[in-house]
Amino acid sequence: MILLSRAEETVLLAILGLGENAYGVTILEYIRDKTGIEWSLTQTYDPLKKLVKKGFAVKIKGEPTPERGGRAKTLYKLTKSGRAVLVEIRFVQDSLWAAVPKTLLAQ
Amino acid sequence: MIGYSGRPHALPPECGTRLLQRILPEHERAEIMGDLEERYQAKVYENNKAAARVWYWIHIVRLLAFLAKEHFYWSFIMWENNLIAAWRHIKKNLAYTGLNVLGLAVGMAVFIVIMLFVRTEISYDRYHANAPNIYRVIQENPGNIYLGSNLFALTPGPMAPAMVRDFPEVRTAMRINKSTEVLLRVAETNVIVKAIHWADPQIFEIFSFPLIRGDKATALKDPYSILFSEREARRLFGGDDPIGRTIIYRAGEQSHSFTVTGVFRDIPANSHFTMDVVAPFETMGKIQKRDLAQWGGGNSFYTYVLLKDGADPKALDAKLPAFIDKYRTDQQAHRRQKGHYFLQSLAQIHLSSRVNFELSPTGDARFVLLFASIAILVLIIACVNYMNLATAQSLKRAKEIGLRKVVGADRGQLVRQFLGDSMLLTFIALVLAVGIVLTVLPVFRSFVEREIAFNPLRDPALISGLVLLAAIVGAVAGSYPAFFVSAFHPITSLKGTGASKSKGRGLRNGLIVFQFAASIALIICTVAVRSQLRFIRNMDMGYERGQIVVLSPRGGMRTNLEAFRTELRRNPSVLDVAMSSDLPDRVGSTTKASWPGKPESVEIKMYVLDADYDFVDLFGLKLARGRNFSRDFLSDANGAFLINESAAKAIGWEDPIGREFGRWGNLKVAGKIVGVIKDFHMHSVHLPIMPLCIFLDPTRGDNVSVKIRGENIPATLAYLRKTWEKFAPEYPFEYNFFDEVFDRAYRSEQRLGTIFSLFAGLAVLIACLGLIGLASFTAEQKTKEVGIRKVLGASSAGIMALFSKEFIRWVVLANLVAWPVGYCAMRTWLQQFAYRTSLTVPMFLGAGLSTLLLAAAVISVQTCRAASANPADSLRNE
Repeated sequence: MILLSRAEETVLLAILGLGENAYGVTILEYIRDKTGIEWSLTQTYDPLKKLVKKGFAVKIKGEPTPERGGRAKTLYKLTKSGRAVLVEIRFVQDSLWAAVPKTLLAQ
Repeated sequence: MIGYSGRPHALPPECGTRLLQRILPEHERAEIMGDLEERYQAKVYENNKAAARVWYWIHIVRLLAFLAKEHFYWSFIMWENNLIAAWRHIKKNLAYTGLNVLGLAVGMAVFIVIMLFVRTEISYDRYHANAPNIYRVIQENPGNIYLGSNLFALTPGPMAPAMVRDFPEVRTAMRINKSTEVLLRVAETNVIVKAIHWADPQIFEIFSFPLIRGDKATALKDPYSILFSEREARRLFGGDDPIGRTIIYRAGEQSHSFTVTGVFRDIPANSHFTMDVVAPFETMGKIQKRDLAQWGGGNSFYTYVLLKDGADPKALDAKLPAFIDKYRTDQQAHRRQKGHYFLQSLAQIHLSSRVNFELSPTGDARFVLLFASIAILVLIIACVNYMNLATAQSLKRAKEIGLRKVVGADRGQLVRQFLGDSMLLTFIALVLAVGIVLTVLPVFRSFVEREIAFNPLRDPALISGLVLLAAIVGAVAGSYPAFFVSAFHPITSLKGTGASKSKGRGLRNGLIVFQFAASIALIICTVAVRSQLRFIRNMDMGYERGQIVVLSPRGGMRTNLEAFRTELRRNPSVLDVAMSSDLPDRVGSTTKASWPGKPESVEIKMYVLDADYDFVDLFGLKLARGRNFSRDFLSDANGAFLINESAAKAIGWEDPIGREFGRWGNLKVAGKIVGVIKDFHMHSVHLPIMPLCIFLDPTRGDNVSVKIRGENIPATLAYLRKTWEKFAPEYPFEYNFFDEVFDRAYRSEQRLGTIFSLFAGLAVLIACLGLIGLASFTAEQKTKEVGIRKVLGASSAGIMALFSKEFIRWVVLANLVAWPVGYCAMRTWLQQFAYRTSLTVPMFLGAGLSTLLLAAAVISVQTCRAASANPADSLRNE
């Protein structure tokens, strides 16, 4: 099993959820909207870098927009192994949750 | 997702953008700045502009922290990697590294030791709180050259109080004088103290001599008060409280009783005078019956003034002639005194003064300068040595460098890497150097007779100085190798062809020439200094020095001179006894000669020596004409003179025998000239022989010279001691051998000789270390060439000759550079001696040849191994 940090896993899930429009600001907003936790930009760059390095995501140069002062977006896209690792994590989590007896869960 | 299109674009703070533009790496710049700006828009419309700005700045700070962390992390990784590479290189080439570090350590140790000395020398008297405003009044006496200088530290007694009275810019002033070898009586026991200093009470106001006991305002107010230094108080009173104790001061037949009023802290060693006992200046006048208010004669006190802040000493100098004229009304004294007074700043006294009658011996700026230049030279040689070895060694790392370049290292990184290497080695060398300094410092301390402190842990200035030294040496020594290495072409260096191996050879050879030229020049200096020393020692001074014991009579000996002498002569081992005012190697007093018929305008300054009948014979002075003083001629007792040839020549007398002659510029102290003695060196050979007259005065007992038999000297000395104790039991027996006294006068030259030998030796050592490294490196590089040559029939000797030739050529060239340099330096140095040895060709050839031989020996040991290797081994693996 390949280990991902919580932050990496979160960011990777955000990229997955954002589809074609995953870059710094949208990732940030996605995480804020879905979890209610506001990250800072720098907090997203570190996991992003690591994900790229580990080969779970790739950088693609996007279109420049006026809000960005005419600068190009750097879009992130999930790779095959990135998708696989998310599936694997989810599988592990689900099986572990499923194994917990109902009585214990209720507490 | 919230869209913002259609709203006016809000620009984030401009300086923030510019800052980001600067610090962000190019490949991330667009992403991060774009994201930030987009978020900024959102913040502006969600909240307000101010909040957005705060948010923006917070992010910049966070980014900075993030980037810094990244940067340090990676540079640490790189640094660690460089360190590992350096360490592997060191481990693989332990011998070379050892040579290199040793060379650097020796060079740095020499530099540190000498700079500690220089620091001590320039620290003199600077600890006084008032130091910048303290001046000493001295006089220049044109035409009155005494022992090579016409400056005198002496001033008239009333000068100090009159200056305070007349000049508003003078805050206060004081006089001081000293009596040496004083007998004190402390609680019924006699003690000799080296000196009493008689000083005005202002001494504690002008100088920073803190009192441990007593009050500095009142300590010297009472005429019979006396103060001791801490160490002297401990010696005299042990643990007892000295305050209020009575001290009896014995001057001749009289006794004076003083009361201890204070104890001052020991005077630091870096002071131009030291004192252990102080008593009021005015009291000295009373005890010695001297008129301290006289402007004319008795010019024998030291005057120090403390100026007000901002006062101009030059302006005060200009006022002094009129000031002197106002007070000095005695016409004769006035006419006689051609000199003028001026102020000498306290800081100048120790190094830049060549003033007669200093309170304590001072240092010599030329000596310090010479020392410092040698130190720098040795340090440069060590640096050059490092460059040489490191450059040669770096060829071995060509592959590593090539690979680094291929992988993407830029030139700056390689320069930093190699500078780092040299820094690492320099700091190892520094630790070693500090160890060397700690071991040699005690020897050096006694050698230069200075208290040199070396305590890096307690001296932050010193420690930062040492670190700075290592950093500079590391940077200088490492700079060339670093730039040399970083310029390697990656392809050639990786291919491992010999193409790059001849690189930098020109400069390496130039460095060898420099190193050896400097070493040879130092050797030439050594030889010349030693030859001059030998010349002095073997020079015919015109008097004898062997087996003469010199005593300075005290107490009962002085009052019963004749009896003392008779008692001494009673021993068969005592051959002769003579009394005189001075010893023949240091005649101190001068007089103005006079004779009947002397024209007013002619003035001849003569050194004068008072001696008894036996002086000339005992010291073996030769007579050119006439006869010695003789007890057989009763007329001699009424006044008789001997003059030297220079004196006869100066006056212009063909035959001076029988002429009337007088001293002190008049004929009151006069007599007939009975003989002319051949010129002898009555001063050090720095000075030419001057006119001299010897006056017959059998009662002068300043020096008693005893000529003894060469056998059984301890027994004779025991007899002298017994006789001494019979006459003056309260004084400890002290004696000197005249030849030792004589040698001591040339101490600074001997010191110079030793220093030159030592440093020349060290320079040669470092140069040879470099040569060993280079020769063995070349030998290693050429193993294949040697193999092929041997296969083709070359002999081992032939190969050694081939290798040696290359280095020897440069050493020969170094000679050609060193000879003129050494010649010029030594000719200048010898000029200060009135009598000097000549610089001969063998000195130069000897220095050159010995270096050459040493270099040849070093090289052949290194190449021998390569030359005698079996060619099969060296050619086997390709």
